[in-house]
Amino acid sequence: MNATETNPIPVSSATDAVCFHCGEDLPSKPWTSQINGEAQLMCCPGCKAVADLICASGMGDFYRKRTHFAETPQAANLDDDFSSYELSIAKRRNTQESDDATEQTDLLILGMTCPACSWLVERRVGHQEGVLAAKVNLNESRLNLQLSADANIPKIMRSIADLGYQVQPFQVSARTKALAEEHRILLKRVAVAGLGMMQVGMFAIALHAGNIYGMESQYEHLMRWVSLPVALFVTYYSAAGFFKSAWQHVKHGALIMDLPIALALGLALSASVFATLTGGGEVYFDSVVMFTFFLLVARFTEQRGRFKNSLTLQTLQDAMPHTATVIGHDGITKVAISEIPLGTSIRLFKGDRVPLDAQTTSGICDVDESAFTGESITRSVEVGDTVYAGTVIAHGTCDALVTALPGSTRLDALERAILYAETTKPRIALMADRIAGVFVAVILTIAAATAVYWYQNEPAEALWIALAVLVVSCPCALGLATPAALSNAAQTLRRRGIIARGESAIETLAKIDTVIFDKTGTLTDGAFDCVEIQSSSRDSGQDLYYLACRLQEYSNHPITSAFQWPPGRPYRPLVEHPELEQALKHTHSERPVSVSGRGILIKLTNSEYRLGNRGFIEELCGTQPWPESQLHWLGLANDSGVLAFFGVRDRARIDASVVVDFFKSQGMHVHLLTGDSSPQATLLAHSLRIEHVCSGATPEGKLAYVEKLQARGAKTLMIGDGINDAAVLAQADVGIAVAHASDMAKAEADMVILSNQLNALCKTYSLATRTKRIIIENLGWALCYNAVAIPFAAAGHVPPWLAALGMSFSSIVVVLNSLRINKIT
Amino acid sequence: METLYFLIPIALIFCVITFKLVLWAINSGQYDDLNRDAQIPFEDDFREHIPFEDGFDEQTPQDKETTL
Repeated sequence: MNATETNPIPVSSATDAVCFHCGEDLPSKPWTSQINGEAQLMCCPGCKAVADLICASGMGDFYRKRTHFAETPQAANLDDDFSSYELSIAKRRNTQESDDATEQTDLLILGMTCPACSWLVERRVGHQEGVLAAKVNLNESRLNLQLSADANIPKIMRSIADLGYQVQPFQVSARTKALAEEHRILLKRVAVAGLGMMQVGMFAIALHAGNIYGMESQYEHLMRWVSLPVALFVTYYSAAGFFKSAWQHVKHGALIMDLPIALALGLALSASVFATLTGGGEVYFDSVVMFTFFLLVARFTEQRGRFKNSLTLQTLQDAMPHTATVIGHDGITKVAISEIPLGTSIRLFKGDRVPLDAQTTSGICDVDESAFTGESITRSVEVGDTVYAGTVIAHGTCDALVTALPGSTRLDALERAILYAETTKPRIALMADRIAGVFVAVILTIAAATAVYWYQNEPAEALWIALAVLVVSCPCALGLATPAALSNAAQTLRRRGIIARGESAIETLAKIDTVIFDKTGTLTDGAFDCVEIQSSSRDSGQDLYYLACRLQEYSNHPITSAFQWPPGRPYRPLVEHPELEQALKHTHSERPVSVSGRGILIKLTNSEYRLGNRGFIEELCGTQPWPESQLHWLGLANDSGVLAFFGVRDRARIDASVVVDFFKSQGMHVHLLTGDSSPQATLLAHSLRIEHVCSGATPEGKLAYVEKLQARGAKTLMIGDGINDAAVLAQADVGIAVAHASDMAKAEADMVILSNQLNALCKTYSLATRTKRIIIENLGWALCYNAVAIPFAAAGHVPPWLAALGMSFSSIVVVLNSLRINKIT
Repeated sequence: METLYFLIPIALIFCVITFKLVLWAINSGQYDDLNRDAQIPFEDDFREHIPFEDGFDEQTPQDKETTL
């Protein structure tokens, strides 16, 4: 978080078994790059490309400056040319008021993990043509550019994407502004309280010294009178928030931590003012101001952590396209979504995100609905089928008629489900608030009883002794116990690539007893394994697998990930299939083509080869006996008949079983909840030893499943990634979105794991339980301290300076104890 | 000791000026990004952040770039 922290990143050592650029685990054959004169290991070509670029442009210093690993570059981001943004940015430029010579534009850059990243971006962009000034605001992940008229924005965006960051135009929302304003207000309060504390503290030292060595009463009055306006101003300016929130909660009958804080501040201040006016008693101006400052610093640190996360996620939500390609009488035009009427004919290209629900009228395509349904295999869409807004055209092109407008699409229905989930989510009462209620009641009773007792015996002292009880009882330690621990935990998590939104999730996580996993993208990474080969010809299974590998090289269908010839194993000629070998060897001849939603085929002069699903194969060689088992079966055939069947199944992430076992060892129930209706789910659950499986669930079904568990009293943790998980992530007691999750899922989750490693979940859970222990220690300490100090104060044995000292001391203990969260790993 | 009656009010006036300065600085956005700005002084090339280049150093940032 800041520069004084020890650098956790190796600067030049090649011994660590993680990627030097992004810190992910290395594959068995890592890539290498020359960085600052030393060879460093890289986990993927993406990291290598970025690292080479950084060093080639003389910015190798980045690796010395950084305090966090960079994010792994996303492949999709690496080959966008950003030309589509020129229009939208140019449009916005026109609406902005600026003189002709320079223009301002803001870009949102995701993936900047530490100040060195912003240095890198500023350096890189600053040397681009047409850039007059580049300044990164790391809090908002925003790059502010001053450009001359000839600047090429897509090229600038490209140059940032080359560094491995994700970049898009920055959209200023009302929420963004509100958050930035909140940051300023809180900072001003901290500053005023801090300055006031120094000023009042100076006078207080004189007063305390006067108490000990003696002081002329006229100077004592002077000191009191000058402290008074400063303390009043600080309370009015900085501490007003405590009074407001305490009052708002009292009105609703809730006793929160802000109440004893407000009471102590209010009483100590009014008593001090009274003492100053009448010239008797004691003044507590310094305690009032110091207390305010400490509390504000704690809240500021906590708010700063939240600020960045919410900004990044908020801006990400806007991933839907704003325009659609409309086929009109006079050709093809781009039209804004909001202006498209029902029944408009739109064209969808490969790679497009479908903007609206639409019924296809011509063309065949594959739709990737994995974000929507959790189905891992793309759905092939025929004429007359409906494609849904938010899904992606994986293959092919089609024309379609719009059947639902914004607000009534299936995606909008999902969003409404999310809204519903957010409002019905059970809130586990937080420990500190529960204890606060009791504590406040007890303190008030004791203080009142003390006042009554002393009023009967020594009326002049009654007010001061009751006040000493309130001051020494130190709501400060109690008030800091939870936020200090939670904000430290949140920071520690962030350093490990996990973002927690609102620290209450960390506290809730420690109470979880049921863990629910989504399948696709969470336990699996969308790739497949070929686990069984049934040979129907003379060839061995190995040879046929090799043949399939050679064929699929020309397809980008996700299922082809099952046919990857191990790197390093030599290619050899296909002796049995000489004609095919000839074709594959010579670049000029026929290539295998992939057929939407069906498979791959290559047509040669004398023969034809096909790899694909049942319908595709049977088209070539008639009805076939198809293997029956839970696996997804693909056939490989040529015109002489079927050569082999390949049994394919979802590939679990490497660390999936580790994570499942970890949670089981913690005594939790593990569930698998997936939209995939194929037997794949059961297979996967079986191999990971998960007992409870619910497959084929719609997003609403998932929501109901979790609600049912919660109704039975389970405290649920949901881990998912897709749009179809967004509602259930919001509904579960804690929702965690994993790497590459859809933006909507990220926005609804309580925590987001940025690294692509599932075992970060184990670390997160351990940290949450440790945090809980620290909070209990903090509260325990604060209560013990009070149990000792209050009787002394009530007996009238605590002078004001000792009360103030005790208060500060107990707060420091709490803060130091909370810091231990960062240290123990 | 009577001088305290004179010196302390002066201290308070300075105090008021400091309050005003700090609030102005925050309102003008100088503290909007606490992470990035804290790093600038530690950067080798921090001259680039200083608006005037002439006479500050014989090497302009561009020169430095080529020597890297």
